[in-house]
Amino acid sequence: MNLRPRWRKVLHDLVDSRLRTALVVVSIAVGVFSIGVIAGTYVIISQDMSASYASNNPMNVELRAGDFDAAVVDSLAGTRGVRQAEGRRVFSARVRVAGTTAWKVLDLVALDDFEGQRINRLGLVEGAPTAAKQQILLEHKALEELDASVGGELEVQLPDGGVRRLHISGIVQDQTTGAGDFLAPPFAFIHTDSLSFLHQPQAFNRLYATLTEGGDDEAHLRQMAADLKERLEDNGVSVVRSRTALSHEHPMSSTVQAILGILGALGVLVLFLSSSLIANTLNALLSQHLRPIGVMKLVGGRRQQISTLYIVLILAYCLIALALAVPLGAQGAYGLSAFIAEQMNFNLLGYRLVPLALVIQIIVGLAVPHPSRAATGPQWLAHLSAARPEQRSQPRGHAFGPLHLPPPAAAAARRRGPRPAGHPSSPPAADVDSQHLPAPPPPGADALHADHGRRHLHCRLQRARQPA
Amino acid sequence: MMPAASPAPMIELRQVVKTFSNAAGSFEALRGVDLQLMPGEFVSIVGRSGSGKSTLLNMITGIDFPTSGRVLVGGVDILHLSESRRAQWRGSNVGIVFQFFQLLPTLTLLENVMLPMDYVGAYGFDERPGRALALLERVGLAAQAHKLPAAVSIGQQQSAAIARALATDPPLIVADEPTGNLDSRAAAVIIELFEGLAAQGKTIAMVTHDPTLTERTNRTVVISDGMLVNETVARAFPLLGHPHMLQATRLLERRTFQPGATILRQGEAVGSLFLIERGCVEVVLLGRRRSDVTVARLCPGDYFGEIELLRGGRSIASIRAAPDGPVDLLSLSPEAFRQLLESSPLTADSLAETVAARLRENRAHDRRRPGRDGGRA
Repeated sequence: MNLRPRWRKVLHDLVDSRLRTALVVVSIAVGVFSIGVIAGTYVIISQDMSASYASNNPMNVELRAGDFDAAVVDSLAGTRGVRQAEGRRVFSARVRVAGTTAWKVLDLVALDDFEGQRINRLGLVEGAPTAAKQQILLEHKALEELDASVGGELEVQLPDGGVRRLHISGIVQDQTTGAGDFLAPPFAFIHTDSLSFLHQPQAFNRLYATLTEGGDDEAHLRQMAADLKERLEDNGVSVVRSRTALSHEHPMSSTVQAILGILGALGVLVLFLSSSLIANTLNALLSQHLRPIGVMKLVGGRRQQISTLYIVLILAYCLIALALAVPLGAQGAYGLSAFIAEQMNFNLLGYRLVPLALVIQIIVGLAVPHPSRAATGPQWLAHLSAARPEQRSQPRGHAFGPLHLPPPAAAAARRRGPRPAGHPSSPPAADVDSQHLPAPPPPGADALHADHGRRHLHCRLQRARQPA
Repeated sequence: MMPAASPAPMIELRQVVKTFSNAAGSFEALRGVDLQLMPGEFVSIVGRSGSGKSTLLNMITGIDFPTSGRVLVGGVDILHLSESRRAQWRGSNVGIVFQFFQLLPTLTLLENVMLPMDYVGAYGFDERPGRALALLERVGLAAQAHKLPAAVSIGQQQSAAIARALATDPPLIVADEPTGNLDSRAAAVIIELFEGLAAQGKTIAMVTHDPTLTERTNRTVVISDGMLVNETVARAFPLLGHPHMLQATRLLERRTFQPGATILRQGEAVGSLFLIERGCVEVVLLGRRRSDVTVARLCPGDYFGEIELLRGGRSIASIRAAPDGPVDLLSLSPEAFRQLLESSPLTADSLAETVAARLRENRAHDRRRPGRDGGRA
C-alpha cells in the first residue's frame, strides 16, 4: 500500500501500540455501550411493552362483583359503547404440586370458553391451550412458585379442607389480568365445569369489558366503568371494585418509564465519566506524542496537517469503539429489555437494532472524544504550538522537555539562590533547572577544553613565528 | 571595475533579546545578540549549560521568538511568518539534527527521510522514495533503509537523521549537539558528513560541547550568560572561562589602522594589550643601519603587548599594519588584562609560556644580529 509516511505513522500508532489503542477504544466504548444499552432499552420497552400488552386485547373495564350469570354478561355486552364483555369467576385457593407439602396461593380464573375468549387473551407457552373439566392451565409466572410441569397433578384445597386434584394441561401466559398489580398472586385457569368440583358456585364474579371507542381516554373509561357498574347493580349485583385500563398502554408503563429515566440519568452520568476517562486518555496519548508532534513540526508539518493526523487517529479509535460498542450495546439493550419483559410479564417483538440508539451512539462515539479533546484544549494547543523534540535532560525513548528553560523552573532555580562559591564560571543559578539540565559534558571535558586551548595557542604561536 | 558585492548573510540576528517571564519574575536568556553567519560557513556554537545557546538555536530555527530584535534567515524575517507558513518555511529551508536523533520510532528510516518531503510537498510523490533512498545511500544506510530506527545503531540513527535533514535540500543545517550521544567513531563519521555538506555550500550551525569538534569548524561562536563573546577574544584566550571571555568582551575598545600605519614604535610605552580582529600586523625590528626587519606577522586571533604588560618596560619592537589591508585591533587595558590573568591561572600559565617562547625567539634573533635589541612587542 502506497501510503504517505504521515498516514503510515497513524496506521502504526493504531496497530503497534495495541495496549494503548485498546485502552483508548475501551474508554470510548464504555460510554457508547452504556448509552446504547439505556437508549435501546428505553425504545424497546416503550414500543414492545404496550404493543405486546395491546396484542392480547386487554380489558378496558374490570368490575369485581357478586355472583352473576351469563345472561347479565350478555345484557352488558349490548350496552352502547361496549364492544365485548366477558364474565369470569376468580377465586383464591391454596394449591400444591401433588406429592409435595408446601401450599401456595393461586388465583384461579374460571372461563366458560377458552377458544372463544376474546378479552385478556392467553398465550400458549407449553401443552394444551385449553383446560377441560378437572384440568388446569398454569400461568407461567406461577412456575416461579410451583415446581410443576405439564402432565403433572396439582392439589387444590377446598374451603372445607378437602383436596381435589387437577391435571395440568398446559402453561399459558396472561399479560393482562394481573398487569399493574405487583402484589397479585399468580394465576391459573380452569373451565367453569370444574367450579362445582372445587365447591365453587357456578356463577361469574368478575366482568371484563372492552370499548368500541375511547379505549385510550381515561375519562371515557371511567365514565363507562361507572355506567357498567350502575347497570350491573341494576341487575341486583353488588360491585365491590372497578378498575380501568388503557387499550394501548401497559398499566406499569409509567413505572417502567420512570425506572428507565433513572437508568437514562445513570447513562448520562456514565457518559460524563466516560468523557472524563476519554479526556484523560487522550491527554495522556497526546503527552506521549509530544515528541513526534514536535519532530513533525520541525520537519515542516503545519498545525493543520498535524491536527488532521491526530483527528483521524482519534476518529479511528472512535470507529473501532463504535464497531465494538454498537453491537454489544444492542445485545445489552435487548438483554436488559428481555429481563424487564420477563419481570413485567410481557413479550418482546424480537431482537433488532434500534435506529435512535444507533444514532445516539454514533453521535456520542464521534462527538464525545472531540469535546474531550476540546476539554484538554490548552494542552492540545500547547502540544501543537509548543511541542519541541528536544529531550536533552531525559533518557532516550522518553518524552522530552522544552528546549528553553520554562520560567517557573527558572524561578524555582532562582529561589534556590546562587551557586556556592568555587564555581566562578558557572552560569547563574536561575539559568539552570535540574529538570532541564543539558546533557553533561563528557568526563574530563574541562581538562579536554584546557588541553584544546593549549594546542590552539601553540598553533598560533608557531604560525606567528613564521615571517610573512 | 565595481567591487564584488559581499554575499548576504545566511543568518542574521540583530539585537535579539529573549526574556522568559512568569509570576515569579523574568529571566533574560538572550541579551542583545548580534550574529551573522555567511552562506557556506560551518560554525560551532559553544557555551556552558544555560548560557543560551539552545535558545539561540531556537531563534534561528523559528521554534521560538525573540522578545525584541530581528532574526533573518536566508533574508526571511521569520518572526513575520504565520505559524503554518513558518513550519513550511522551516521544512523547506532548515534541516535540523538533534542530539537524540528524534526519528519517529514507528516509521522506517526511509519513511523518516520521506517525511519532510511529504509535509512540505517537495518533489513528486513517486520521486520521494528514490530521493530518500539516495540520501540514505549518501550517509551509508541504503541497506538499512527499510529498518526501524530501533533496529540500527545510534550512529546510524544519527546518519539517518542527517539524511532526513537533507530531505528537502535546505541551504541551512542546524545541529544541536549532533555527536553528544555518539561514540568517537560514530561522531567522526557524522562530522565528516557535515564537513562534506559545508564543502558543498550548506551553511551549518552546530551546538557542541566537544572542543575537538570546534577545531573542525570555520568559526566558533561562544555564548555566555545570554551574550556572545567576541570571537577574537575566544580565539586569543581559549583557556579563559566563558564568563571571563564575556567580561573581556565588554572591556574591549576597537581601533582601526590603515595599511602600513605604525601601531606601536619600538621603545614606546605600551598601554594596552592588542588583539587582532581583522587584517594582519607585522612585527618589525630596527636593523643596524636603521633598516626595518620584519620578524613576525600576526593575524586575526593573535595578540601583542603582553610581554611589556607582564614584564614591564617599553616596546621591544615596532608593530605596523600589514600593507595588504587595514587592520582592526581590540585593545584591553592593563588593569583588565591583569584581572583576566588572575581569574584564569591556566591562561596566565599559557601566556607565560607564550612570552617565554617569544623571548627565546627574540634572543635567537639577537644572536644572529649581535649588538641589537631584537625581539617583538
